[in-house]
Amino acid sequence: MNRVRQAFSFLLLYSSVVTAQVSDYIYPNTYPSFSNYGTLGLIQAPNARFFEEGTLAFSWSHNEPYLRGSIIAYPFSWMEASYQYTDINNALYSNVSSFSGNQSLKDKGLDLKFRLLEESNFIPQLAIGVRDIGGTSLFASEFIVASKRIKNADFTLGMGWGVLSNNSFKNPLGNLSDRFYTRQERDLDATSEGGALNLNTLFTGKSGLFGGIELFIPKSNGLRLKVELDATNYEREGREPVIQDSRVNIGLVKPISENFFVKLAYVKGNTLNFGFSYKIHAGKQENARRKLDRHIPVKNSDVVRRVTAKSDLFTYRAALTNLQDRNFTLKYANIDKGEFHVAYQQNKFTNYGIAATRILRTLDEVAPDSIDRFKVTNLNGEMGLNSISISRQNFKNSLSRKTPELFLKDSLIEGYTLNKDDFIYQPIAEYPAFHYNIEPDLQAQIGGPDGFFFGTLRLAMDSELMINKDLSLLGKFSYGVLGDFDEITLASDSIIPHVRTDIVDYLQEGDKFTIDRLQFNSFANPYKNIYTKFSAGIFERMFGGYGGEFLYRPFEKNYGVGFEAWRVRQRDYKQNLTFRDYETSTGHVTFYFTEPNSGVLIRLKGGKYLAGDSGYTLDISRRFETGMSVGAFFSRTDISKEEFGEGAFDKGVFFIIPIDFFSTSYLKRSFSWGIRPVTRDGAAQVTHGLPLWGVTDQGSSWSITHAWKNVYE
Amino acid sequence: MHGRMYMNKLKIIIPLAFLASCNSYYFPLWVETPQRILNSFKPYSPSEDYIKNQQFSFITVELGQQDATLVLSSIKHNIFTWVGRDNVTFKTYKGIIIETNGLEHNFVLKNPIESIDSILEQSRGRLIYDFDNPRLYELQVAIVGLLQSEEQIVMDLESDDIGWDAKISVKNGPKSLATETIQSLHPFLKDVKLRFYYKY
Repeated sequence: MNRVRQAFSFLLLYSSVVTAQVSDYIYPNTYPSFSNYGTLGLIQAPNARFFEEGTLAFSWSHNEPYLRGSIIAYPFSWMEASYQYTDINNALYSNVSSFSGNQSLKDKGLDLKFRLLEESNFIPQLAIGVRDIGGTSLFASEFIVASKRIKNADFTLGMGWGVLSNNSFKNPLGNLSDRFYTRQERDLDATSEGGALNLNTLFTGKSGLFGGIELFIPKSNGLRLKVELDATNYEREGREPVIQDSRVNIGLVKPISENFFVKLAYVKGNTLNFGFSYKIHAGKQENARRKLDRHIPVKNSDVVRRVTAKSDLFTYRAALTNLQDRNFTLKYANIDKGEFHVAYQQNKFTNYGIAATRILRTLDEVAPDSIDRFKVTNLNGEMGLNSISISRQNFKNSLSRKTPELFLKDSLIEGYTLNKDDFIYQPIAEYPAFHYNIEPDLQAQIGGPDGFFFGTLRLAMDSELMINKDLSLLGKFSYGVLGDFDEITLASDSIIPHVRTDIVDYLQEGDKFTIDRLQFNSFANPYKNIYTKFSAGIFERMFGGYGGEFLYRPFEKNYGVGFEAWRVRQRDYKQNLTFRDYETSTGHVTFYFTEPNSGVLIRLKGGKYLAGDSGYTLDISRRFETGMSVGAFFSRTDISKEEFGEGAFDKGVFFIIPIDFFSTSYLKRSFSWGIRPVTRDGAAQVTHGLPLWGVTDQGSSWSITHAWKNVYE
Repeated sequence: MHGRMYMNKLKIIIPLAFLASCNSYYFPLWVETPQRILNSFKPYSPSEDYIKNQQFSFITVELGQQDATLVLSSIKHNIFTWVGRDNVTFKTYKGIIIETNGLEHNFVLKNPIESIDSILEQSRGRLIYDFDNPRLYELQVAIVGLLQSEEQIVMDLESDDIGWDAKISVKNGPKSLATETIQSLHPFLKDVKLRFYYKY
């Protein structure tokens, strides 16, 4: 009887496994999809779904009278942040035609959503979120939402406030405080200035009910049907009321590929809307394009090793040439008591571990059998940053078994201060050395009152001249090829020194040849964990001067402290070698902290800014194993909201994606994208080239080891 | 030799391009990557010299934007085993891929010789697939169309169970050896294209 029961249990288990397996093929691509608001959801309503951390997405939807483009980031698996532009077709940008002509109204907004509870077999996933926080609040709403997947249907039910308050009922939060019963009416005239946060309105006023289902159609490559009860209060949304004929919306979403989705829906009972979205999972190395430029083994390494066994000099030279062939620069080398120590520079690999292990492979292929230990030291300029030592046999074991963990266990990774006396072999560097790179440089301006889009395409040359080992000149020159910035008429209305808001003058007068940077630098690493930099020249488009940085960055620790001070003068709008009258001193103390498990970097900076205001900037970002970073920042200084102007205070979001994520080759360059709702003069900082924190990135144990699991590619 | 200061590009975007009272962004564009992307769309084709210099028979594999060269490792019971880097292995029988390893999604055909021979003789039948990632065993795939001649074999396949439409197309050359195969490998992969280069 027991056997029968066991057999029955086995069959039951087996059949459920088989069902689950078949279901993976019947319902492929069951990723959640975006709503018209550019966050994951149904058609109009949000749901409680999130993409995996490190995902970036773009969503576009056209739902009359709104046309909305959103950039969405998932810095954590429990957080969704979306920044969007909305073109509002049924309202003008302003009533002053001399200011904005007949351009339709544009609105910017930030949405946030946080997971409260993760879905399990019996419990739905629960999330809380806010739409259009701060700013003009034309679409402001808050919600709590639950989503539960049952077979091929994803059910969503939620409660909303603000714009999501149709199908309304009494706000249950009123039981906590009477203030939740009343929502502050929007002052559409006042909110046209936007930018400030008003947290008092959150979760106030009437509550609304929304819900729906995302039904995955079998054997259709991820096609899904969406039906929802719409809680959007079209009387409260946007600038002008919109007619709603039905509270039920219906739509289809079709994945064209794993990452590209298109959608079509019928909303409000009277409007057909269309949209698309694209996402990348850029946080994990396994999602990056597979690299084809693998380690190139040294040819005839047996013969090479027999030759290098005859003389240390042959070993040095073999290492020098073979590393050079593999994009590494050997700067110093030494052989002592069976240890081969090589100090190198590299500018190819974002993952420092890959660089180090490739060097070790090359050394193993050229070094004679008498060498039983390797030490590789990473330099940047003449600054020692880290040193990795491992016995030759342990390295071979780790490599042959492809076990990066074994490498970490058997090696010593430590900070390093360069002492040239440690090295017998010091190949002579030829100075001056010059490097340059020519690339297109696109700058654009979106959503201003003069027009929705202005842009310029420039041809830029980035260069670096190494005058000697201690002094370099960093240059950037550009030439405007085409653009329409001359059509912008918006002038600065700032009442504090125009350290940034004269940007239109800079763009218009510097529309041809400009010197974007011409900065002398001298770096040093005088003591262990201490780095210094002195710079002078033209730092950026608007300012030049002189000053320096000091950084204390203990290798084993996850924190650092920096100090910087600059005497700067404002540059002429034409961006040649002449200056304007405004000059000032600026400086900051910065505290850095990296949370090692998540890779979150917190930068707290305090000091005096370019316009003479004093205060602080908090910058929080997360760096993933691919090198991608996502972050946000804000500043508060001692100027009033009136002095700051629109936006009330400086804030913004940014992300940085390494280019080699998309490439079959390694390339230590990145694509950066950042946005501030408004640019004002308050909390403005001078932007100098080669900041010490970036230059000394390899001087941190975390930076080297956080993506170590990928070193054997 | 030269010294050079390398900067890690982890920096906040230069705020210079942000305009007053509006929104803007700054793109540092690059030259290398578009070229690399363009190159990746070029069909892969080994040069005459490359073909001439190879010691062993090999196949070129085009799968989506990736391509690779696999070398003939063994022939047993007319099953050709082709191996490449990263443990990628293809097995072919009469030019039809009957097993893959080392791809993101792989499959194995059950009883490939009997199944394929039976289909080619009787112009009907079915193939039984085992998939991995995600695992799915003994998926029955029916042959819904077959065109066969000395020069080519074209099969249309269909699985009602998972709604998968697949195809196998083999072009044969002299000695009835396959010269080119286009085949659906797995529901989650694009069709693969093989070109065969024999050295015997």
